[in-house]
Amino acid sequence: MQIAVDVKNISKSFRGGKFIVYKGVSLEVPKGDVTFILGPSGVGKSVLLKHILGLLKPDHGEVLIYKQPIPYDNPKLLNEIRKKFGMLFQNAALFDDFTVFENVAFPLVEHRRELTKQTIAEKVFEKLKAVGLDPEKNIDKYPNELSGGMKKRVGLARAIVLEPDILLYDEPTTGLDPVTRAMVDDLIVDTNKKFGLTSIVISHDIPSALYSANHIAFLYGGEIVFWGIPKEFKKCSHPVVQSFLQAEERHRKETVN
Amino acid sequence: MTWVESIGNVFLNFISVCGQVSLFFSQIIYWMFRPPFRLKLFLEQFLFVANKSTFIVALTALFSGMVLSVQTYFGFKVINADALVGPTVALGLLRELGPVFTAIVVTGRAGAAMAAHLGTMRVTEQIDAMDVMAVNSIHYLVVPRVTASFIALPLLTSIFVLVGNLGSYFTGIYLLGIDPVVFFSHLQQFVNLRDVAQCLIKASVFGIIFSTIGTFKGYFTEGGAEAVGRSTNEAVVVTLVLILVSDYFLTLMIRAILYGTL
Repeated sequence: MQIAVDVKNISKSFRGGKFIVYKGVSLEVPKGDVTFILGPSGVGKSVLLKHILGLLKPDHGEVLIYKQPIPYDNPKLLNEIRKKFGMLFQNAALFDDFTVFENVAFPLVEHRRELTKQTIAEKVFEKLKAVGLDPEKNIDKYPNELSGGMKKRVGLARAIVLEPDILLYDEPTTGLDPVTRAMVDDLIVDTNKKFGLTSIVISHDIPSALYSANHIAFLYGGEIVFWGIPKEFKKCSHPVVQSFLQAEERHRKETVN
Repeated sequence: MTWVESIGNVFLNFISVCGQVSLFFSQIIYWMFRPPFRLKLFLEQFLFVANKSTFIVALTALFSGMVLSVQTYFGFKVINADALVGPTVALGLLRELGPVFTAIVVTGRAGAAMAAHLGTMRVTEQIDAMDVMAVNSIHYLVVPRVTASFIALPLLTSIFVLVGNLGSYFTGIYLLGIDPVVFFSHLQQFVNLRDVAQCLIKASVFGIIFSTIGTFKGYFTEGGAEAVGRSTNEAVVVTLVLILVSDYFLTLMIRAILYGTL
């Protein structure tokens, strides 16, 4: 099993050590899989994502991307490493002033300056189709004219347009209606298969994780308290994991009743 | 917390913010000379700062020039020096009022808009998205705004001074009855190139100040929509105070360098 992202015993605190986020987190993300990082709100899931992207530097420990340590002090190399990543933000983080086309084309315009306008247009159309959006109808729209689900699709198209190796999702299903949520779950799995990616999903959505994940990591109290496949996750005896699962089960039953 | 601790905290915060602004500014300078040079973004910002501020700057200048002319005239008439209204207003506009008033007007328009725009981009994670896509957000968002302001403000100030002097001229000649020949001869006698240089230097510095503070406050906004409003408000207040404080020290420096005396 090849490891795409290797988080090695990182610790991190803010405000001069007053606020400790991690005491020593280790995580191996296998190449080609969908790995969910679950945990309650405020436990530092997004902070972990920022460490993987090199936006934050750990106090101790290191993060390896394909066995290479992140070069924090070398902006040029850091940018090269970041080009291996695509990211879908919670609210898609589309540029308000840009149309759908300009949003998706942005990474190409910035990083692939040798491409002609026509090639860029072809790539944008291809990626929009891959995420299930009709390019003809949508390229001239602005983000405020799109629904939540459509924004996610455009954000995903933008994230994969440079054909990254690793795709990161920050709470992709939070705040969505059940139908759109299911659509995003499928999109994660399909995109991962179609483009041969490694996907890391930050979430607290257990049904999504059980449906889409190959591996699940559970972050709590500054540590990874569980790492394994979804079947094992259901049997995990850690009290916080159990309370998470029970709360989800109760919510499901109440909804059915 | 005792009052000594409170004063200490305020002082430490002040030093910390000064350090942050200095670091931010050094990054702007670093990225300013790094390719790719985004001419389109620069021109967009230049259009926004310069072109769209021209009318309001000219309008403010016209009335400032006119009222200065009237006030100076009635003051100087007492000592029979009303012939000096032209150069007095011209020097006032060139050395002080032109750069300061223009900077104040543009801060209210463009500085506030910069803080609000970048603040919104920050709280909606658009700036993070840009960084994640390996596009340096300071290079892309901040550098064009600061360079455009650095160039636009001296041009706007020139318009301010020109229109202000026209206002002064028409009021002086047609309303107050000053002889046009006397008006111009005194202008030539008292106003020189050093005053123009002083005007343009101040305007350039104010251009850097308002755009740096506007973008700094927006770029480091933390929180939601409310925080964007707070950043915008702080950007305007801090810029106005800084412009007036730096104006005093700039005046001393420029006089020492260009005029050779205080």
